[in-house]
Amino acid sequence: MKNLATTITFCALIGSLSVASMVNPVRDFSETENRKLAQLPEFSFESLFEGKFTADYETFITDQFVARDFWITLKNRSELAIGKKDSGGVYFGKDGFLIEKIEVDEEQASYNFNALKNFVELTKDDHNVRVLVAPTASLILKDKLPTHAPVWDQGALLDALDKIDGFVDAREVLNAHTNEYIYYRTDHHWTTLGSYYAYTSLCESLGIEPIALDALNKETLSDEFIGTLAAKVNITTESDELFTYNSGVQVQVDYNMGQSTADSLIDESYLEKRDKYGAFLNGNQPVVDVQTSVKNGKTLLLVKDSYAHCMVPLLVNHYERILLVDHRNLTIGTMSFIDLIESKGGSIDDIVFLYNAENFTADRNLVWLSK
Amino acid sequence: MVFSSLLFLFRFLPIVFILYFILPKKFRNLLLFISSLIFYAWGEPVYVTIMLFSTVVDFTHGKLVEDYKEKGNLKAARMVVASSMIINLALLGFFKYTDFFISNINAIFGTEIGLLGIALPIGISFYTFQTMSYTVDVYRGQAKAQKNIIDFGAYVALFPQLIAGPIVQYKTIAEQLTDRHENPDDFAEGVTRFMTGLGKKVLLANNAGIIWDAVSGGDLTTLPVLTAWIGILAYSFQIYFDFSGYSDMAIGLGRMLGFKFLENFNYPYLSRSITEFWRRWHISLGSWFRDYVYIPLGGNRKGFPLQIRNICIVWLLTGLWHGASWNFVLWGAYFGVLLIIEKLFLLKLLKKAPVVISHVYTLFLVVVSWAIFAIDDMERLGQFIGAMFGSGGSFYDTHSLYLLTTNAVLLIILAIASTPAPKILAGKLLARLGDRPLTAVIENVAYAVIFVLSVAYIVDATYNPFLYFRF
Repeated sequence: MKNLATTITFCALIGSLSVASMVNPVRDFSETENRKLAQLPEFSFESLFEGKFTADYETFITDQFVARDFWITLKNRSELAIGKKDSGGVYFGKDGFLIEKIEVDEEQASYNFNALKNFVELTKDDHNVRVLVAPTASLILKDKLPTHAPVWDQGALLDALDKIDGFVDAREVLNAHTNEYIYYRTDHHWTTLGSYYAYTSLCESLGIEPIALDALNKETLSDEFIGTLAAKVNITTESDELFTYNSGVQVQVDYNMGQSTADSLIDESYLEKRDKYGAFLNGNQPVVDVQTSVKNGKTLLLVKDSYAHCMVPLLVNHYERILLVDHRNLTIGTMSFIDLIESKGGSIDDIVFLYNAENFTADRNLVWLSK
Repeated sequence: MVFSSLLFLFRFLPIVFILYFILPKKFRNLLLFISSLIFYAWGEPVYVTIMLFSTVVDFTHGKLVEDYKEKGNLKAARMVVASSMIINLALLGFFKYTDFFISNINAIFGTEIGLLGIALPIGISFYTFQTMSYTVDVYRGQAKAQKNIIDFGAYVALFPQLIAGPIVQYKTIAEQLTDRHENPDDFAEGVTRFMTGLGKKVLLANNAGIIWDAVSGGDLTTLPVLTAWIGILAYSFQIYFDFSGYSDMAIGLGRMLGFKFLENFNYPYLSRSITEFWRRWHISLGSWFRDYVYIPLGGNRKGFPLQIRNICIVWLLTGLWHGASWNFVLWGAYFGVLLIIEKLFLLKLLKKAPVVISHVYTLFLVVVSWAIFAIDDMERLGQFIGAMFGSGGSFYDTHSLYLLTTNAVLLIILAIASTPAPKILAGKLLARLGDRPLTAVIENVAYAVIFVLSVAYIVDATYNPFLYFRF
């Protein structure tokens, strides 16, 4: 009786999943994993004997397995149930915060430090140069980390950077507002409010009067923002709110030197997709040229990573022109770019280097700074 | 192919089993042979030829041995056995130990001979031992030579134990090859065994492995004592659940097909002496070395000095069998020495000592042995063992506490699961419920849950290595 039940259970489990996985329609792309899923590999005797065909076929079956997202979620939930506090490089922090677990490449960090220092030396005589290496949630919201979670000493890096001319330390202002919504719960970026506070420190350093928070119009772009960190662990968590601040300044945005233009800093098409943060300035474009309706003749060059994107709506209040370069996608050196702009009649007053601290230690493209 | 994969569970397994039970008995070994070849060739499309070669070699050798014996020509029969040994060991030696040999020559003579970088065929350490056991068993008259190459091929290639054992000696299975009776009771028992093994491997072993990787991945010189011990305990659990889980799956699948394999693990962490440990851990390997190396060398029947020599030989070989690297030889020697000491006087003392003492003694030595086993770089091995005893400079740090707190539940589960407690408790619970439908439902729901969770972990896996794959 018991044996019959066992046999039936087994056959039912194996049978149903086998059949289901065989008839399951083949998917092209996984929204949750944000990647293309493996397709049926092409057969050839060569790939068979290399072992490639069989390996690819197995990847195909696993990628296309029925209810793939359900299984992954089930696994993550059971891990949480037995007390695990991290998965896939992400900590499950308190209050639903997902915080990235960083492994620092000391060598790269050291190289980047020197590259940055060198860049400041090259530019500080002709421009107002500021360095804003933004602290991330793992430092500012360290109370939200799981108990005893080992974490990289970001503070030491920021202290070292403090010795560079023009360093803007955003820690103080951010630490004063930890009770506010300054970092996303599901994404590695800071919120527009977090960037606002850092912006006030930057302004102070540049001698600019920052716009008051209540003089700005908060516009909610989406209530269903689920960011990069949630994608890494694939657990449906409480979604984040994506918002921006409007102050009435008009803009004309030019992407990649004429490739396309827009009349808003927000690209709404991203709000339908998974990567909603990309709505700010259309994701990671190599070169962005923003002309504003603030006719004060001042130009800002932002050498940046994506942390800068949500600060631009605030910066447009103080500059007639803002240029952004992203060396992850641009193979023109910063110095060459400055020459290029100046050769066309432009002139750059302020230069701000804006990277988040984690990215700063890992980025492999700072070699372009002095070129 | 591995058992803990979607490909095996939801393509290979259903197709092979359906065909197996549809086909009339006389075609079943052929099906097993062909499907086992596919199973093996899936991961080793080229090296499958070596396994076939080894099969044909020993099939012919077996017949020759029996022919010579029947004609009374024992000398020739012995030479055939020797030939089989030489060929199989040469295969094993070439594919597994060439680069080890070369790098040692380089180290001793200062030469710079290039390494050949030969890939290790999966399972070669297991199937060469199985085919060697066949020729010897026929010579000793413990089994009749197999006349049917398909049946023999099915024995060698049998997919349940081809890749990772248990090492099935021919004589234990000879009759079952041609005369086994598949039946629903065995099938059901095989199923539960298989599910248990799958859970052990995917849910327990792989998760224990994550802890070990977190500990052993970085700088070992500053590792606090607590971190080192949490790590090596995790590894001890990982290797046990990995290997015994795989054996459970092998035995379970065999049972479903009508084969009864011998047990390979018997709650080794309950042992109260190293002697007892090696009767509970990887039993089929210990038996193989006993039957085909220790006893032929004289065992303990030629006086004590020779017994010591025999133990040393067996244990150096056992260590070396596990991997082509000096740490494995050291590991084997470590146990050889301990076993000799126990034989000399310690075992008697242990038997009289309180259970706790003998238990702690055994577990301590076993856990330390796993450090030797796990780290093949001798420098890092030294650092790690040092760290276990305080050379890291501290007893604990935040990372230790983090590992401990976030893995506490898992570690407790692992500890309990390595004893018969769950089985005994479950047995009592089910006995209390009696022989009713409810009992069957509860038991099967439990197995179904294990299965479903295992599938979840497999789908999620980027991490699903099988440790004994270096064999």
